[in-house]
Amino acid sequence: MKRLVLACAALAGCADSPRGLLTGTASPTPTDVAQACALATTKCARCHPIDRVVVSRGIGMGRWQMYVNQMRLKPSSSISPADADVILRCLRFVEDACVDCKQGRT
Amino acid sequence: MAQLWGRAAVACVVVTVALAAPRAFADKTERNFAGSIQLDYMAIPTESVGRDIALDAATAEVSLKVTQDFGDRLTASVKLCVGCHGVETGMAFFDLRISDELSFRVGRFTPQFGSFPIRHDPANHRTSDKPLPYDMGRMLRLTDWNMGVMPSPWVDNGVELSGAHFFSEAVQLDYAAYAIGGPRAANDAVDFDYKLSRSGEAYYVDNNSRPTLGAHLALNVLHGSTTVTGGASGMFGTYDPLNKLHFQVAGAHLIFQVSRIFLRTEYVMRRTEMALGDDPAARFKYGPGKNGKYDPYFLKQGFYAELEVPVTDRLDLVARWDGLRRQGNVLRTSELRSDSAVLRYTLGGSFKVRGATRIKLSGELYDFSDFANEIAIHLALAGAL
Repeated sequence: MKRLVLACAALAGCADSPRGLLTGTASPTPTDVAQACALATTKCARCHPIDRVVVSRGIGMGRWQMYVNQMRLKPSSSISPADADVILRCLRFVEDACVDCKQGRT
Repeated sequence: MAQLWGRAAVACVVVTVALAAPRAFADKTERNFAGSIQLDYMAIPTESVGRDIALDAATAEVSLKVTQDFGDRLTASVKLCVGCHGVETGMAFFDLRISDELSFRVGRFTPQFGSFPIRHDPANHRTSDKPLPYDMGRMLRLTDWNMGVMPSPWVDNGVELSGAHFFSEAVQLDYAAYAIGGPRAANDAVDFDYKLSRSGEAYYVDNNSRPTLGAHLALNVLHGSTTVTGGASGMFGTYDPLNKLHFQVAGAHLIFQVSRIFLRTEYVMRRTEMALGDDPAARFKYGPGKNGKYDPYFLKQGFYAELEVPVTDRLDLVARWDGLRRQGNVLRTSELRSDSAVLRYTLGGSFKVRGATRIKLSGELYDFSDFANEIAIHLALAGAL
């Protein structure tokens, strides 16, 4: 049982990277942004796959602020106001650096 | 009591709109669109004609949602859902936020109850179907069991007061209290009739002029990459037009998150009053109790425990154990007994194909107390837009 738990933790550790959010970003990723995106990945995964964020890239920071605030206020989001700022730091980098995001930036 | 609560809620909403409107409309508006699609094929290899016991084969679930922010305090959301039931309005409400600790939701929505309903969208959870306590028609023997304890998403008209407070970066408390139309059935009912909640002929209004009241409370504690969430929910009211048949629903959940590994557990129970009728002996399968009286209540309980483990960026694995138990008298025509149960064991995987599109594959073993065991296999394509 202990081995199973350790194996699960090791697998999740490998999968728990921010690279999903950073797919298609041409710029080198600063360390603080990578950490911000790791937090965003963990927080968002509480309610939905991170893919839902990835496909929405390109909507612009105005809409991201709206979304992050809505998600923060969802029941048991575990996203504090400080966490929301960190998540927005990740999304701002993705918006600026993403080269294959969908059209419709605002 | 219920009428007073309703009047107080309406007064609060009016005051809130008055307070929120000037600033809300002064700020920039933002609008966004989201949606999801899932096409699931369920095969039942243990039955020659699966349709006899379930809604098998292919089913589509679609959601289309538009959200508009009118500044920081006022948001409107409308969501259309397509499922086995056809096209329904899953959301149509305003959110009025005074602060993190106080906001109002007015319109048609899913009231806060338990943990799963927030993830009910098929693009948000890893299995094709829902845990048995929240099943809305994909379980085997759904007619015999009348689905789960509280089918999700439970959509209703009403008003909800809610909020969240962070005592620190590590401790969050959520609460919600609401008044909604509530479940429905005829005057001689022995259980909820879910078709009446989505029938134009019955109108999309309260069937008994009395709101159903409910509340939800949850505590989140964070420590490093670990989060523990515990919560409790309750709902009560009457469900027949004459307000004679009462019900009470209660639930509790406990969720552990370590990084992106989740262990979710939840328990839901519903105590429901049945109409005994003029001749209970002819109507029910079992006779009166030792006191010579028929017990008008039945108790339906459900639980699930689910482990979700991300293996790679593309692959998530899920193991789930869930079940239902029903205790109480049944109609003579029912194939259930006075104490019936079903346990289900599920193993599944969700593989990311591209973007937010995933293939879901799962196998389920049903262990019925009153019927032969069954196997169901789900293969689905699900995605978000």
